[in-house]
Amino acid sequence: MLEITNLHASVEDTPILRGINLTIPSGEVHSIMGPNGSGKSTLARVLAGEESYEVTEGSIILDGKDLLDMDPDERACEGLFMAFQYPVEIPGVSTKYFLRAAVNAVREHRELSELDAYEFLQLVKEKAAALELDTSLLDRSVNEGFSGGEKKRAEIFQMAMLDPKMCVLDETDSGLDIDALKIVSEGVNALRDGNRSFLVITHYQRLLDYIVPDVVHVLVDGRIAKTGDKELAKQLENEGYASIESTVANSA
Amino acid sequence: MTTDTMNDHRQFESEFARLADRGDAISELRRAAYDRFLELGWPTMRGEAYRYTDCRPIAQADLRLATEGRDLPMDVLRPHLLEGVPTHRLVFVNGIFNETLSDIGTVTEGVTVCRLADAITEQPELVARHLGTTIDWKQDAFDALNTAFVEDGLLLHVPKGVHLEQPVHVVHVTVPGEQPIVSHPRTLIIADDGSRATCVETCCGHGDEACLVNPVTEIVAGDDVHVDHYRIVREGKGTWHIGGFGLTQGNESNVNSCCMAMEGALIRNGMTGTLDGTNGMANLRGLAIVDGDRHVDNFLRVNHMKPDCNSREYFKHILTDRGTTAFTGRIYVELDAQKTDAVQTNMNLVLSETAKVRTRPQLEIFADDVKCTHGATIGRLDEQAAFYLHARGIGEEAARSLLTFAFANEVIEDIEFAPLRKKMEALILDRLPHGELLRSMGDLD
Ligand SMILES: Nc1ncnc2c1ncn2[C@@H]1O[C@H](COP(=O)(O)OP(=O)(O)O)[C@@H](O)[C@H]1O
Ligand SMILES: [Mg+2]
Repeated sequence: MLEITNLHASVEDTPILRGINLTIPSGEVHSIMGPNGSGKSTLARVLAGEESYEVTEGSIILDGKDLLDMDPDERACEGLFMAFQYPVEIPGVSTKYFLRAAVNAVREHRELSELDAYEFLQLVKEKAAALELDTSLLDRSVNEGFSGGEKKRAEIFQMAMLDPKMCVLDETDSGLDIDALKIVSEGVNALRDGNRSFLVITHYQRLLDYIVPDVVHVLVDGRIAKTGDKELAKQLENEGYASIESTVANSA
Repeated sequence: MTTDTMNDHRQFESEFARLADRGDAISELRRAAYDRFLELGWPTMRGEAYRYTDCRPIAQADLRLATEGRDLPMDVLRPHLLEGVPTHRLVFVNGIFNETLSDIGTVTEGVTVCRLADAITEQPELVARHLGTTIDWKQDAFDALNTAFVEDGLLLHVPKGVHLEQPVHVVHVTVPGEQPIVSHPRTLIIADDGSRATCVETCCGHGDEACLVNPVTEIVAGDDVHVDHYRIVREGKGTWHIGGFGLTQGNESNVNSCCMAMEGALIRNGMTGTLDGTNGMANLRGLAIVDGDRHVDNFLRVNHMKPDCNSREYFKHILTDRGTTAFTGRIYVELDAQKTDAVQTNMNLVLSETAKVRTRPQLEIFADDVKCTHGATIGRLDEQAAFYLHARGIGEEAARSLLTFAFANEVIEDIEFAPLRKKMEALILDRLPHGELLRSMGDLD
């Protein structure tokens, strides 16, 4: 599904990602863990196509297509979804209008018929219920004045609405209490259908108790320092990142 | 340069002569205003008030007063009407009343909605008492010129305690021709104590030739009055629209006026609001969408003469291409006007490298216990917001339209009168790429 090869990226000429190799087969859930500043959000934003990050080397292939050739909106239409660590507030743009524009843009690209108002609202109802999302939020401006938890839940709600094939979740657990964490995780798990793939980025192991990954990667200093199964996450929880960081330092 | 026409402020002499000997209730006012225009001459960019608006093309245009109306099919008017709302409608073509297109209908008891020409003969005292009292025609040449040539327009008089049920809609259609014409429509709204009314003015063009539209609207509001006024400017490509607006209001009165400067070669919106009673609220708003080589100048003055009043000025400009805008907001607070609360905002969204913005706040404050704030911003679209929209599949142009609409919508989102709000939304969306896409979203509400 997603194939990242020797990916290097920098911001303002400072290299941040320094040769990432990562393959996520379809239907699998991979997790990326790593200390703060290791480049996790950078990877997510590079995948989504943010322009301020320059890809200096490597390739990203989604379902056989080169993502680096595509603008961010085309990547989204092709089925990539990135749930932001810090969702942007957009005053004056109603969430409902925005979401309908998004859903129909994606559907048009996928050669599906446009949803009319009724169909769209039905879909909203269904997906919102699963996430216990208060639909009155949808009458407000995009993310404006949402609590931390509401923002994260709204991201997963958007993900459900847009029906992507590759979901990247950037620290969706941060700022969530345990109940919200459970709801969000159930929302994500409900989307696991054997085809859709996930890249779950987190700093803490806790989230992985609820969204159980097939593979865990540890990102240190812009490179994948270690790959293992879900036990690796437990080990990191107990020992911290220090042991891996020092191995990387020694090998460098 | 054709200095001949520049200095020839007597170009309207024969046309004025025709009006001058009419001997009606406002002859003296016309004469005084005409003489004042001769003294002032066309404004130049050396003066304060027209520093950012070049009137030379107007001065040189060899304008003739329009004396003929035109018959127009209803289809021309239709896009300017408020859908699904009954209004008291007066339509003028080139300043001349058009009976066929107008439909005043049945007016709430006690209220007068009529042609100003009729009011001048039938209610001379009322007109003479109020006309010209809210604007500074002695200082502004265009206001003086309008006042010199007052002939027709709208009179709306709402007597004490009466609430006018339907809005009044006055439509000024301009059909220019080879010979550049000028019209001076006048609107006089007199709202007595405790009354309520809504008035919408549409100035629209049907043709691209050069011409001058010089309308003046005055609102004289007593105590405890609520008036909502809107001016929608959608002139032809070659039209210079120099609009004047004056307002005085008494105690506890609440007056809103919003100017949508949408189309026309040049739009200047000069507004003067005077809070002449305590506890008043004057809420002046404006939106300008400026593309091509167009220019919009919002020039405002708010006078706080009495204590405990609020004023709000909220003007947003959207610029693309080589568009230019100017904003001048002067807040004057009299010594006596303690506890004044005045807020002035001018926000500019600049979507091209070649557009140009000028903004200047001016505060003149003589009272010591006041709260006056002003803020001006000049910015581009928020890139983080745009990226967020792209990341959800929304393309470049649609994202830009969505964000531009959000910026513009803040000017009109508080309009309670829904059909008008919808109309204004549609006007904005019509100017944006993918506007039809956003428009179809209205059915989600
Ligand atoms: N837009 C940016 N401008 C400058 N530096 C950045 C930017 N984005 C990330 N960085 C830097 O890149 C490094 C990795 O950041 P980030 O990807 O946010 O890490 P993580 O998500 O793992 O905490 C940090 O040193 C951060 O300061
Ligand atoms: Mg991060």
